[in-house]
This record gives sequence, structure tokens and C-alpha cells, in this order.
Amino acid sequence: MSMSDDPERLADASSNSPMAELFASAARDLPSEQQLSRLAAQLGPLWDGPPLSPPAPSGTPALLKLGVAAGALALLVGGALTLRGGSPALPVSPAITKTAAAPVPVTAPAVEPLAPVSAPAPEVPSAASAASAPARAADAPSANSKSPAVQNKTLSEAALLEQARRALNSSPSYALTLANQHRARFPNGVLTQEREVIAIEALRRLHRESDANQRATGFSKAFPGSAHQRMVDETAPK
Amino acid sequence: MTDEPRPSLRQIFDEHARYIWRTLRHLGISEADTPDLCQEVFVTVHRKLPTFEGRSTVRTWLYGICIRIASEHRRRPHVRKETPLSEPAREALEAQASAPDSTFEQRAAVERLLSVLDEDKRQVVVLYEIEGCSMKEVAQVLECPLQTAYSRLHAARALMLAAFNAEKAAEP
Repeated sequence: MSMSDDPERLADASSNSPMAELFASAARDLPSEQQLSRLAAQLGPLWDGPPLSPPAPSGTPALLKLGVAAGALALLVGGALTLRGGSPALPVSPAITKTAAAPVPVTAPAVEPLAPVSAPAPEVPSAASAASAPARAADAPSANSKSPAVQNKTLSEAALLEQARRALNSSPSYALTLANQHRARFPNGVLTQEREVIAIEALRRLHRESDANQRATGFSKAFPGSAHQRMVDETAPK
Repeated sequence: MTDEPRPSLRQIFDEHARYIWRTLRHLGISEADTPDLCQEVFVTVHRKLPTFEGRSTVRTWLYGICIRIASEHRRRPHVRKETPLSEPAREALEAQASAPDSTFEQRAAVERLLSVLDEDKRQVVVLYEIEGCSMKEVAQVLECPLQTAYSRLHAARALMLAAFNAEKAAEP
């Protein structure tokens, strides 16, 4: 399934990654035959029933839809789904489902008042396409880029932020200092969102609510739809 | 679109169920919730199979469903409280207590690495590094530009390596 120009996988021994064995073990981490048999038994009523066509409209719990055509299914499968009390499965595109891709920030995030910075670099080019991807390698580092400079830059970015993240519990002020160092050193870094999340969390822990709110507002404006938004929201005092 | 006949649900289950299970686990679904989520995936597949037109492979179609269902599951409030993203799947470890120590430790170590990633990067890592999809397929499943997928993989590797090295350095 792999393409020849894809980067070497971490699990490949030839990748020389210290994480190779861990990822190889992850690939081997499959369910037992017993677990699969149990799952197959639970899905049993589906095997004989014809698929529903056309699909039921969205917004209706999946099992209610299926229940019309396969009542037994609702009894067997429904328990697990409905008892969990969660929302039903959302409708899924018949071709490819969509997940939230990080949008391109169009404005600079509001930053800690005492240290304004420039706009972060977008995570990705907004209109990048597969065809144009190679041409954009210089603008946005890619995993298959072999440029040591680019890789080292991201590594040191990540190392700095990892240090900041680890300091959050013991010394939020130090974590904030490191986050601000990151902002100064990597104003167009690829981990800008991660930095902002750490900085906001540090400000909360330092009880600098006003600063944290301002930075959180800036984050939301700069990265609408970010996968980190939930974490930012959860840091806010209830 | 392919000319291949549409597979039956049973065929899809036999060929892909184990990988769906593995994908859900590495996307951060707890051991306790994985069977339910697997069921949810196959209920969705059953419902959508008549409209599957073969624009993608069955496998990438399934991964898309997995990603969507896992993502929605994680956003459910009760799930967020019980199993936050950054927390290793303790219950999974407990449920696997009978596994060999090395398996137990490796699984926990993988989870610790994946838990430093946000959802977008984690999805790329799971699909590419563990499931063996090509980067083009990863971009297709996630419906993002190929360059975005590469950027996420690159950043994810750096984050994981930093966490890995920090953990090694902290070892006595």
C-alpha cells in the first residue's frame, strides 16, 4: 500500500528510529480470535439481513434506522450503543468521511499582552493539492523532506515545547517562559498551536485569567476549528 | 470507480475487522469501549454499503468511518471525563494484565507516545505508521491536502521523539 516516495516508516528497522520496535509492536497488536468471534456473534443478525437502501436520513440514531429492517439487531447491538448514553453515529459519507482539517489562520493570534509577536505560520497551505505538494516543500516542511536543517528545526521546536509541557505542573512560570522563548525563536514554527495551548494553560495555572483569556481568544481567532480548541476551552474556569 | 463487485458485510468483517479494532485502539479508544465502537463501525458500514461506489478502496473507506466514529466518540462529554486524550489507557492495561510483560509495557509505551499528539497528528501516525497506508491514502482518508498530511506526520514524529527521549533520559 505504500508509495515509493513516502518516508520510511518508523517500524522499519532500516529507519534507525529508536521507536522502531515500539511501532512494530503496535502493528502486531491485534485483537484475539476470541474477541473477534464475540464481535462477530454480536453482529450476527446483520449477516443475513440485506443492507438498507437508500440509507436512512441523517440525524436518526443508527440503530433506530436499522431496527426497522432488522429488529433483532437493535436488541443485540443496540444495548451496547444506546446504554452508553452517547450520541448516535453520525452519518458517514459513502465515499470518504471528513475530519476536521486544521484551517489556515488568517490573522495573528492575540498574544500575551507584554510580548506581542507576529502571525504564526499556517500549518498547511490552504489550497495545497497533491499535485502541487512537492513544489511547496520549501514553504512547509514535509515528512519526506530530507533537509537536515528543516528536520533539526522541528526537532528543536518540539524539544523546547516538550520541556515546556513537562514544566507545566511543577513550574508554570517556567513553562510560560519556555513557551515565550519558542515564540521568539520560532515565530513561524510548525508547532505554533501547541505552544499557544501550553502558554494558555500556564497562564491559567498562574491565575493570570485576563491574560489567559486574551490569549485564548486570540487562539480561537487565529485557528478556527483547531483540534486544540477543546483543550483551550477546558482550561477556562468553570 | 472500480468494476469489482461490492463485497458483502461478512467479507468486509472477515478481512478488515481486526484492523478496524487495532485502528480504534490506537486512536485512543479504551479497551472497554473498543468492541462497542467496532459494532458501531459495522452498523454504519451495513447502512452505507449500498451507496459505496468504489471511489476509494474498501480499506480506506473503512478507515474514514473509523476516524469519524472515534472522533465523535471522544467528543462525547462522558468519554472526555473518563478518558482524556493525554491520559494513558489505564483500563486497557488492566484488561490486558494477562498479556506478557513485554507486550504490556510496549502497549503502554506506544500509548504514551501517541498521547502527546493532538487528534489530527495522531490520526496520521496511526494510519501511516501502524496501519501501513500510503501518505496519499492518509490524505484521502482525512480529506486533507497531501502536504498537510506530510506536515502533520513530520511534526508528530518530532513530538514523539522528544517525548521518547525525555522518557529515556528520566529512566534511572
